[in-house]
Amino acid sequence: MKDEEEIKVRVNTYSKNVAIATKALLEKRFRRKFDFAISTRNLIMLDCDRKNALRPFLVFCSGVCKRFAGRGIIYETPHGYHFILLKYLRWPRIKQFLIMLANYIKKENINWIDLAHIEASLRRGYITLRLCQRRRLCIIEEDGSVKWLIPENEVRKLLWR
Amino acid sequence: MVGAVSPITDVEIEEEEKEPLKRLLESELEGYAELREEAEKEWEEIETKNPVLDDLAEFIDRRNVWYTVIPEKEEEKE
Repeated sequence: MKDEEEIKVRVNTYSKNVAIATKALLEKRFRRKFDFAISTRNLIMLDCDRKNALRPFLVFCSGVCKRFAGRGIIYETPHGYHFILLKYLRWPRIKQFLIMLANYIKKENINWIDLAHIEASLRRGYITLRLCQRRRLCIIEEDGSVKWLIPENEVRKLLWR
Repeated sequence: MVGAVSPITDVEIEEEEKEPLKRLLESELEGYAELREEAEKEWEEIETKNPVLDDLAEFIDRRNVWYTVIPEKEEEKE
């Protein structure tokens, strides 16, 4: 059995000091590294784990912003991109969206949104995102329009990877 | 008092048990300080370099976001 399957420990806390101490204690106990992450049941957070899939992910996230009439941000991560919709929503609405999204991903055979991440969120009743974001790439407005926060030549490189 | 819990100081430890218990505690805590220091540095880096906490400050204040500690994903290493 792999380590990942053996260690299911996760700790949620409102205190950053508790999170820091817990990380050290878990690393001591299990002799392996743990990551800091954030969890919520009131924000839509999506994970794209394909570096070369910014275009479809951007179009999809733009649609999410329009649908929920909220502002969103796409971040660059070591292995792809994260999207957070900065709008407070109730879990039943998010859950309904995630179920629809999981079905859509399976039906269309999409590989640029992390299905396992969505299924785990549905199982747990909240969404978790590792705190590995490197920088903001763009802000998506409520109407779906995109404002880039990086130089144009970099945008082109990322979009046409 | 009904339902009161005895404080830990009420526990009597025999003299010959003290040394093994002390050793056990020391071995449990060995290396913890270094790991905690590393975790603190990692957190500082997140607070200074990662934009997410700033972006979510409003939601964190409203107590609908919490900090989570999860096992590292091997495939996420660079």
